[in-house]
Amino acid sequence: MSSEAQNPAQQTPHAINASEKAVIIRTLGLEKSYSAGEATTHALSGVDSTIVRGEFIAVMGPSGSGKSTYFNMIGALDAPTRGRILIDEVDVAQLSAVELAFLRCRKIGYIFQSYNLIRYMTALENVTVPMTFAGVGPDEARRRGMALLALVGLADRWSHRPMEMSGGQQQRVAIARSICNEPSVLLADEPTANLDFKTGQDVLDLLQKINRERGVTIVCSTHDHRLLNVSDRIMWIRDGRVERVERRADIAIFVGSMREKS
Amino acid sequence: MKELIAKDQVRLSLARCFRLALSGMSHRLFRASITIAILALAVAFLSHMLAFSVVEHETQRSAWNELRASRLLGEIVSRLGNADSPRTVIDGLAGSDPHRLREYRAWSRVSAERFERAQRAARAFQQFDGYLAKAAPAQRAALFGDQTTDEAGAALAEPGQIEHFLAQVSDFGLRVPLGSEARLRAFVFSERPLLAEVVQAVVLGHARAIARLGERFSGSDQDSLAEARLGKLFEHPPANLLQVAGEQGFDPALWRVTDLTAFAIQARDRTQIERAIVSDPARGELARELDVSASDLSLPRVLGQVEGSQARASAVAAILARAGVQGLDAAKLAVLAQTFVHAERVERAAGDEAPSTNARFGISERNAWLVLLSFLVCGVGVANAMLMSVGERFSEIATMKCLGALDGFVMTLFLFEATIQGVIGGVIGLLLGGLLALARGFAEYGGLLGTAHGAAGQVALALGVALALGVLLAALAAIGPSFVAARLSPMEAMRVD
Repeated sequence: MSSEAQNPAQQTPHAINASEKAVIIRTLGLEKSYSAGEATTHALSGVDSTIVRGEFIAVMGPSGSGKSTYFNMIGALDAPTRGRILIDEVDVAQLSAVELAFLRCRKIGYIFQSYNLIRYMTALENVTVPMTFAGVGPDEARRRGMALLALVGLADRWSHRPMEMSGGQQQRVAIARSICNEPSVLLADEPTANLDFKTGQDVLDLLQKINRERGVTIVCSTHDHRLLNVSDRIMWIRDGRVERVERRADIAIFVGSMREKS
Repeated sequence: MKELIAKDQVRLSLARCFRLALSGMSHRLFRASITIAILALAVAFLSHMLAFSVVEHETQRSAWNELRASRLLGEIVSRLGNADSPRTVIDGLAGSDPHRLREYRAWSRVSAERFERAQRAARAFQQFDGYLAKAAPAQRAALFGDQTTDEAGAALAEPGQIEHFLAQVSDFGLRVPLGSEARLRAFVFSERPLLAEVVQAVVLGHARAIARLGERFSGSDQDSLAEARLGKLFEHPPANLLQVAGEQGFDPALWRVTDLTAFAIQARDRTQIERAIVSDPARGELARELDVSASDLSLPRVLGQVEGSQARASAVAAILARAGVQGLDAAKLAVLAQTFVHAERVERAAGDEAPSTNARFGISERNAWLVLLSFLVCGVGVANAMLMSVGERFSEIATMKCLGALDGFVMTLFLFEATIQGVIGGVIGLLLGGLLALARGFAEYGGLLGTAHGAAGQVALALGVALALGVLLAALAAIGPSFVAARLSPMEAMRVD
């Protein structure tokens, strides 16, 4: 299984030299501080990072490291205190609220740790929500939604509500939803944290498939070391800074030993 | 810098938002139904208050009109039996009722000029009377002792009295009655005697007219028409009743013979029954039949018990017939009882005062406060329900914003939801409140409710107002929570709960 996961990763051209490829997300001197009363917490203190189009990058770090804040920043969900975020070379800080909504709707797909499906909607309805916001007609949205559910292997469960599905199935519906407007980037925030080993693996396989087949850039935060197998690069964040960025090839042995332990 | 990849996000049409709000609500029926229930309660309360007030007001008004009509009948009948008192005549002369004046004019047999002077005198008399009534009790006692207005006027005419009186008035620092000394003197020395004369002439003329009428219709009796005899007169009212009454100086323009007939006969029957009740052995028999103690037996009691029971009506009618009551079979007794109970109900419904005509929906100030307060409470309730609905959907709203929802869409969605809930709750509340008002009106006024048919339009208006206010309340209460929802940061979606 490890060879299966490693081989395509090594063949992926994106990972070889980031600077030569088209940059999709770039952060420059990103700082974020929260002030509660007189105390000021620095969640991020100067993050410079570059994410290349088409790569699968894992963001790792202990809790409280600023990982989530970084995610919110590059997802255009929160504004930095200082520094710039460029998504597809557009400075997010300069966008109006309506343009930000456009960006979130078409350019970025979000996958959440707790799936965040709308609990009273069926799987199909959940998948069609972003298409509704993108102005796609109901019939077209339903047709595309069914195709996406088929892609994630849930075509026969289109009428089920989240409560009637397992965690893995819910996350697969969420993945179908995240790619329905064909975004350039998928931001996955600990997508396997709430899943057991087997279903977590399924979700990772699905993400990898989307990355390979559709060329969608995937940024994935995780504690799950299996993820290291499918990523091209790993970014370690600690105390609000990028500790190191490694190519997967460089840590393959290390990962192998980790997995043997687990 | 490269050309912006971001364009403006699509804005969804209102119709689309409306459909999404509807489908969202249909998915969350339980929460929606709680909000709807709160709204329904508020609207039910308001519509009940409004509708019942209208019904109450209209019923009272129609009862008041009916009461006035029956009092007028009573007055006409009683004036056929007894001459007006001097005080009544003075009030009539001072007043402006043309029928009354025509009758007095005919009965007094004085010249038009004298009659007019008597009218002026009557007005001065009333003014003088008002002066006495307004005086402080101590001053009044010092000036006139316990004399009536009439006696006081006469006393002032005694030699030297008026000078004494005027000195006392100026000692007390009071105004001179009738405005000036000259007017007072004119009243005391010339108008008052003339008035007394004309009034006496009217009273005599009235008594004469009554006697003539009795002669014409009730055989040779010379005395006034007693109530029982009036009943006999009206049992078969002579065709020329109005004409003969007119000849005798009555002004029958307002008389409706059928009403008078019914009224007079029933008055006679009531008198007969009252007499029978106190006579033995009918008293004991009635007490046994109606199952009340003999000391409790009274006309209202008897008629109240008879009303609505055919069996009792025939039993009581038989007892009464044995006691010498004439012309009252079971059917007539039943009608009498029904009329009596109805009249009592009307009297109760009419209240002590004529209902005001300008109150909106007949709502009193106290009730208006109650309505306002209840609406505030319900407004808070709805706002709270909406806030909770926003609170428990934080993650959902934030997710939608991650997926590209605009602030305006979220706001519209919540406002639509509130408005839809307002309409549904409003209609339910309206039906509830309307039915409740109807039921309460029926319980309180019974059969009288039908007499307030003029109120239907007003009730509809009141219910409409309640519904509109309910919807408005829901929309207003939702503005705050909707704003909170719209401003929610999409970051909330990342939070793990």
